[in-house]
Amino acid sequence: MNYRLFGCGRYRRLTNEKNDRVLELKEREFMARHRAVCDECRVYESQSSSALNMLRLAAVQEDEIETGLVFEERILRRWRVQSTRESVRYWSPAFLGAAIAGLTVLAALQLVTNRPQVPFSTHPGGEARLERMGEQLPLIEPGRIDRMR
Amino acid sequence: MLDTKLFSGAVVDHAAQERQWVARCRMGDENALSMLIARHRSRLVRTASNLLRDRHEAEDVAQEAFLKGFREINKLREDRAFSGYLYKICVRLCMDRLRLKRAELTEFDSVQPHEGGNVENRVVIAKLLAQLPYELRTTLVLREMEQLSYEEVADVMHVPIGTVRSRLHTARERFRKLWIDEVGE
Repeated sequence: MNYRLFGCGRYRRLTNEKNDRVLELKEREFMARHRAVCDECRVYESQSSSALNMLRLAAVQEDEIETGLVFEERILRRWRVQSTRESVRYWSPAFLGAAIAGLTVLAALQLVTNRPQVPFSTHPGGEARLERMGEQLPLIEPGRIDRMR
Repeated sequence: MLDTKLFSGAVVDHAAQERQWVARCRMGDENALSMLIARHRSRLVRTASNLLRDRHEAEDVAQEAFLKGFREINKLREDRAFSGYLYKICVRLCMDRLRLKRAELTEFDSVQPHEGGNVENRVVIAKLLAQLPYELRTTLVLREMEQLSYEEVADVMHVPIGTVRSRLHTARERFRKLWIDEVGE
């Protein structure tokens, strides 16, 4: 018949701790005494240690890893792409700013050079002549404006 | 903490060489990148394989870890910390994948055992580990398979040592129960 004895909790805690540290003499003595009288804890300890041993045995070792040049090449290729993207991302605001500034300057120059000019010279008839880029525009006739009013 | 301990002249050279490579990497030297990849690839793939139990996924994660490490190499304060930094990135990426996978049903017919070792045992272990929550699984693997100390596990997982201790206790207990259910001992 299986039943829990006093000290089973301590025994199981020590079973866990012995994986990480060397137990003190009195702890080892306690375990030996308990093991002798408690079947359940003895089985627990054996199951626990075999499960952990199988886990450790299943660990992949470095000498099993075969990563050839393909692995390295792939990283280097991705790194190049990544660096290019990052430099584009880094410089793109500057390029965008420069492009906007350039366009603004061009537009301003365009406006300044093509501004319609009204010469102050008047013709003998008293008609003001509107000129733009050498092209002759229709005459302004003040008499007609009055009539339109 | 995870860096190579400086005990002998050869190891000092090893560390000094790595510092040089890291410094050259910062300047964009591809040869130095290759050297760092060659030095750390087996370790990263091994760790990722132990955590994910899938070789192809482990290689993907290792590659991502390298890329992330190289991208953030300028942020490193100490060149000698690169090795540990890379390891942490790899473990975090594995944890992210495990977190995403948690709800998914793993198909164990598709588990690809590694060459050598007990293939059947590895498949069983992969199946059992998949049933543990990712925090417990990661703690257990780092401690039992990767043989890290409590401090190292706490550092890599960004949790206090007390949490590592309690997680490890729970993980061992749950793993034992799963193992018994599986093998029917």
